[in-house]
Amino acid sequence: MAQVAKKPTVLIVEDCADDFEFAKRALEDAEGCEVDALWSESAADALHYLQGCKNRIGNLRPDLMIVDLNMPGMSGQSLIKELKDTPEWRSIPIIVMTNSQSKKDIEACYDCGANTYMRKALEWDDFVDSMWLIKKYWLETASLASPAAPAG
Amino acid sequence: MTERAPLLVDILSQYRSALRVQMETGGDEALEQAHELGRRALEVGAPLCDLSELHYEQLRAYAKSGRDVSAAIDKSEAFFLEVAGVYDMALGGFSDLTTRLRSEIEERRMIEADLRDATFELSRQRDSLETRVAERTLQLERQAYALQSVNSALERSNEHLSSFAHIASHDMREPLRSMSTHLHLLEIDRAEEFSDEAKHRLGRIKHLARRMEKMVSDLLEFAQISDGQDEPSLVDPVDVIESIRENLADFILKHKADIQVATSMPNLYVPKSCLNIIFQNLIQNGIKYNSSQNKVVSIGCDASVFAGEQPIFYVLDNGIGIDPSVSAQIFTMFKRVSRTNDDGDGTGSGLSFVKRVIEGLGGKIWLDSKVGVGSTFYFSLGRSVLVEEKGAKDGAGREKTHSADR
Repeated sequence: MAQVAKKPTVLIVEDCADDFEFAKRALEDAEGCEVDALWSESAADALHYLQGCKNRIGNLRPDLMIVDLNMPGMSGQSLIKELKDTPEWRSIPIIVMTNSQSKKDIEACYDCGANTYMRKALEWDDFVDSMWLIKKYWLETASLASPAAPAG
Repeated sequence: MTERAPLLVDILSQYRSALRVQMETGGDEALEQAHELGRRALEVGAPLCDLSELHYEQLRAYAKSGRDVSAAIDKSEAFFLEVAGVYDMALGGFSDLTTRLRSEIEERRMIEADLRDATFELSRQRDSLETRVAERTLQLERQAYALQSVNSALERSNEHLSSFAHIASHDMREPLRSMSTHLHLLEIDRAEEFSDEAKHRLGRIKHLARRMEKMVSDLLEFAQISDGQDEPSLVDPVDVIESIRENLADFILKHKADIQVATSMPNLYVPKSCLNIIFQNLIQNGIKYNSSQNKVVSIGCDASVFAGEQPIFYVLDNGIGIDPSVSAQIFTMFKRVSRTNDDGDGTGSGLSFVKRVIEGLGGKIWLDSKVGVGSTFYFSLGRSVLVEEKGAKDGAGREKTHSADR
């Protein structure tokens, strides 16, 4: 803690470039702490990034992940399951942000261990508000498990 | 045979000598004995002609001796008449028997022929009946099969249509939303760089993107109407309208509209969401397409329907009215036949929702309208929708529940 507090890293898993841009912009526009928003354009991409963290090639361990559900290839849901089944990543909070309001999706995501399920706001201002809430709660209010100290 | 042959020969030889004795002596006793022998000979099977030959020989020999044979001839004749009488009787009896047998056989033959004919006719009828049954069965099977394939084709096409609308509208919504967001960011980031005209055009593009997004959502909703219904329950239309009045409070206030509800409407056994879609869209329509100073929408139920008929509901407005030439188009998706007094929020899908819901319940909708005076939309629900007449006060008249399909 003596170190200069680094900016929290938020990994956004989103297949649509526009949506990533909007999420990043909304995170910036929202009041509160500054964050480093990183982009994975698929679930596989996200797993690859995390593998890089483990191999200490300079990838920063995400403090928080924002995951879309409907993506080509591996679904967001499978990604959540994979992460929650892996001890190293289990403690990273996962926010599902999607257009789907299907009861089935909501239940399945929480079953897999998602930490929050929320609908993508339709209006820009509401979208910025929801990002503010996420930052405020997960990055400024809640105490998160610190990344496991690099062993050896 | 070997036993009988000498016996017969014996009898005949005894008979011959008895006849000779009788003829020579003329004693009746000898004659009687001879005749007795003759009868026995017949009984053991001597042919009658042999006996007559015997008699003839004796009579000739007797006549040769020059004696009077007339008495002997008379006696022989009497004997033969007596013996032949037995034959005659037997013959008569036999012929009677034969006749009877013949007629019995004939009768039996006729019965058999009749029976054969009847059996044949019966089997012919059975065959033709079987053929007809088989033909009819085949025909029915073909019809059932045809019907089944039409049904499944219809189901498939419905499924395709529904999933097409679902997928299309889901996937179409995303880029539209992104377009709107890009425009929004452009506006907030670069406001000072744009001329007034550019800002106006940006505003129009944003508005149109929003509008299209709304249409796509409507399409999605339209596709979902058929599959996302709640369960039917006993619903009081007045309650539904009152809750719509609350939901639309701002809208109603903004347009200074008045909604009047008749208190006497029967309860309906329907999915509540259906009644909600019907009344909400018809009410909104009556207010949106209305340029009167005091906009009024009144809702009620025709009380003069005959028992057993489905009640007819009406939603009446003092709006701009609909020209009869376009009244058929108003139920088409996204078809707007006139400008609304609203901000252009409507996509022109409300009435197609209403029509779809009503038709989904087996009912129909029609209208009566006069340009500049107003419109009245009428609708009735299908016979499967149970109707419950309300009692004088509240729902006390539950026993009056009747189903119109009786």
